[in-house]
Amino acid sequence: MKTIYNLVKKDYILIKKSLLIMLLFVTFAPIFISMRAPEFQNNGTLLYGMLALMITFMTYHMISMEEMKQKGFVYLQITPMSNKKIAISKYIVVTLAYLATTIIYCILALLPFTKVGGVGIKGIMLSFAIIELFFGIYIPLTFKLGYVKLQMVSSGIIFLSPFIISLISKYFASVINITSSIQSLSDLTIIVGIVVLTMIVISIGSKASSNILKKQEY
Amino acid sequence: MNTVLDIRNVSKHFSDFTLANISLELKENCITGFLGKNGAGKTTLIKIILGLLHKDSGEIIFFSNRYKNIETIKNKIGVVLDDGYFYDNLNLKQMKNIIASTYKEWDETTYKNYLKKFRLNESQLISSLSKGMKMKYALALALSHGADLLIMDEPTSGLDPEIRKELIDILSEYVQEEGKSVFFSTHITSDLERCADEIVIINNGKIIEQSNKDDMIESYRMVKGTLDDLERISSKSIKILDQTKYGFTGITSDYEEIKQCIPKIILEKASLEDIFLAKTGEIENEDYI
Amino acid sequence: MGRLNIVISNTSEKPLYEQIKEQIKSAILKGELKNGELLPSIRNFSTDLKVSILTIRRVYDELEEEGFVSSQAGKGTFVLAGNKDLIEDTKRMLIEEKMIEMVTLSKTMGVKIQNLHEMLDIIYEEV
Repeated sequence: MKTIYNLVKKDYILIKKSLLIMLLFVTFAPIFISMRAPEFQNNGTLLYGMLALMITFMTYHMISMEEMKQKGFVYLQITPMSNKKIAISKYIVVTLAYLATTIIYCILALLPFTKVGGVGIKGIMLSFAIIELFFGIYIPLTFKLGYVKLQMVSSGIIFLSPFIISLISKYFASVINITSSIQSLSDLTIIVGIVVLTMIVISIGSKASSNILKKQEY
Repeated sequence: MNTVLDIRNVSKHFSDFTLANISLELKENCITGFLGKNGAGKTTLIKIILGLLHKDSGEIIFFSNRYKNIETIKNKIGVVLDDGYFYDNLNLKQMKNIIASTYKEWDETTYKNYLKKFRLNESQLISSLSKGMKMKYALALALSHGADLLIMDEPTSGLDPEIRKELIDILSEYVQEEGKSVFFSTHITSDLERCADEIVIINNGKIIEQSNKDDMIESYRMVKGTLDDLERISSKSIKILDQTKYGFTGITSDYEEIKQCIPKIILEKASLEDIFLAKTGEIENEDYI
Repeated sequence: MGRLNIVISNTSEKPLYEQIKEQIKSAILKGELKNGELLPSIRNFSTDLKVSILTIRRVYDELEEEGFVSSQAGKGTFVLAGNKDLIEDTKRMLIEEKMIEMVTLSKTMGVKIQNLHEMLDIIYEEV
């Protein structure tokens, strides 16, 4: 546990300089966007979802870039530290970034003068599921490809993002439809379901990462 | 003497370099110097030993197979790498915390004592450390978790003589304790001359010699003589280090025959550096030496 | 521990292990190292003398083979000076070696045994 705590702490120290800017961005972007685009004022789910995905993605990317520039990772490989712990720490880092974004967004939504649209527990859980699913694949991929090649992949993702976002919004809409149609499902069921799903994704992702790291050369 | 590390026929191919059939044995309580020029394959072999690179073939046995899994083995090995391989944005304490939490037998008191001895400040950023300080920090980390084998890649390169002497004193002290051994690579022979028990020479990805340092030095002589002398003994194994119109200097292991051939020839004790140069220098007469 | 002086010469043609071995042996023969005395540990001795631990190991191994020391696992290496016969034999052997040289030289130069005796008497007094 202590190792994972130290690894997570290390990741955030690596991007210490950018943290304040990100914090300001998370705080003011929703307010600004909501003022400019009133359609988000009633329902903030999409805005929140995109913000959460963007922030976790940026955080993870900045950390990966520092990991590449500073070679501390190699030292970790000569210690008895298990690769699984390294992978799990990355999932925790991402989850923490997600949690921080969520908390800030929810506070903003609660404050009336911000005009930021609210987001329900289902919306929050859904974004969580999407983010964890995304990183479930993306983290092992980082270990496999390394930062430089990953950058190509992610620029591809950014290039495709307009299409993906339209897909996601469609998906969101349909999911919202589904959720409204299955109102009988309680929030608790959804939370438990998604938490279990994420646990599975994380454990598969860290196992895969660990296997990939075992084969890497430095 | 127990064997702490037994490397058998290890090979590794790269597109531009091959480590071929490396076999060597590290004996307990010995300081083994791993001597080779830059690019000879020292770092590659050390990375293979540490699992940072994967060997194509061969076998590596740690501590005579005393420990079952790789994790226990890693707990018993301390490492100092040339590049340091630390997170530069962290301070010494933060980096140490990560590393300390991974070792079963981390000894904070020992670590603190080394920091004090090396005059290192824990709150300093790693990026602000000089090369020498980085090496000392790495050494403090490597010696604070009860390691039985210390593996170091070029720990002395780029350091001033005073720090090198300090390092060598620490290594000599470290091996005094039963069961502690050191393996360190260098291209600076004087470091080894002072402290090594055993010398391994690598050149172009091949081990060309492994022996007791004293035996190695004693099996060669420096020969000096005139060019006429050189002509008379040219059939003997001799590696020329220097030749002018006034005379020559060379290294030989055939000094007894040469002495018989020319009794007045000058034979002097060779230094490790001379021998190293002779063994790894540009090859003029490959059959010789 | 008795006094043990080891002086290593870099100009000597003799290998290091032989130089060290002879000096320990001579300390035993002269009685400077007493029976049962513990010799320095191999590691410590080699670090102090700045020679390889393998060289000292060889010295101790050979001294043990010749019966001058005895090593006990985990305890160290002890001087065996109790064996009077061995000590006397060794002393005689060392002197005989030199005498053979001396006599051979004398014979080649035609020096008579009586002259040799006289020379020996004088030198013994003087040295």
